Amino acid sequence: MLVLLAPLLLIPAPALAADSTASFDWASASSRPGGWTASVHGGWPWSGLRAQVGLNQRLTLIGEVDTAVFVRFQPSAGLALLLVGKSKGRLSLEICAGGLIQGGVLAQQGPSASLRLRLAGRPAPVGPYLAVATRHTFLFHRTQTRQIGTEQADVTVRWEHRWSPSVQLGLTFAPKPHIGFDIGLDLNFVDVGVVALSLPGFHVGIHFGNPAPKARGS
Amino acid sequence: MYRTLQLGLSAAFLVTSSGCWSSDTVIFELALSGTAGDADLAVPVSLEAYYQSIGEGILETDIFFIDAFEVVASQPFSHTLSYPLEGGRGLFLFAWADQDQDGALCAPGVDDEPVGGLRIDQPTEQPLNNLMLTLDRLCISPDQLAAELQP
Repeated sequence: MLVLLAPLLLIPAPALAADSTASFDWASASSRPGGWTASVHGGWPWSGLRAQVGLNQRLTLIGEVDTAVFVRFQPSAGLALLLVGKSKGRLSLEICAGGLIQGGVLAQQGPSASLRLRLAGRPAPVGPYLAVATRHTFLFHRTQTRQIGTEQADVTVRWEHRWSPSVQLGLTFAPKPHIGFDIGLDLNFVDVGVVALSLPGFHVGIHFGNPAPKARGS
Repeated sequence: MYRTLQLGLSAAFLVTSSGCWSSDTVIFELALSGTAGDADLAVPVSLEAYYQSIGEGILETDIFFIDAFEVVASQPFSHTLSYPLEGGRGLFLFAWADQDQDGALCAPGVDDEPVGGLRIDQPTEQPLNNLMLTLDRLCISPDQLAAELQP
């Protein structure tokens, strides 16, 4: 996937407008170089934290952790690639690696990777956003069988793949450049084919940061 | 920029590598041997192995199926049971004779299929030899018999 996306880095980067807002940056997962945004969102069943910092005009570093009712945790980190950066809207693609840690009766954990496409309209002061994601998790199971008459256990390893796509649709509000809010609907389909039904959810988020840092030396 | 990128990738690696086994099951092979049923039984005896209980708290449940096999009535048998160590507690062996060969224990209208059971509270890796399963009851379900045999 990274190889396929590499040619995109060769296309001249769109220059992000200096009058961006923390909410616009958050919704589009894109920040100007040195610009940063952090956010907290809470709702049902998903809540989480997210932080991002712009590396250059096209790449933004992202770290986030999402949790479903504080039983399922999905920490991940990665890069967002700005595909389209216009003053009225942005389109970006995130690639993240992370993990899944789920407690409770149906405990599971394993590494995961996700791909997320984000489309955001500039909040002026209200703007829409849409995020479509696909998350792939790998669960590794080890079975140790202690056989009769032997000291060493017979070890077998089995793995399975879990697919959890999601769609997020919402509105951002940017009353100030450095602070903003969003409300959204969360359609997270958890472990498709294993979990029969995933209920839709909602969230409210707050974003803050410095979307337009001053250039060095100025 | 590269230092920030390096820090981010390091964090991603730590997050990714922190995931270990999603489940780690230990199974020990338990040797069972003995006899089940009387010589006058004309059909094989079905032996079913259960945990005596599984789960914790409000989710605690009596008996949970592990494995099943058939033996010849009154003839010595030996079987290696794969017993998952952390799946549940104890062992309950349930034996029944399918007199009408319909594959079901006491289907509606049938009330003469003999059953018997044996509780082993703390199975270990030591073989369980000389088991004697007497089928001296009629048409009792495994969970009911396990409860009746509880000390």
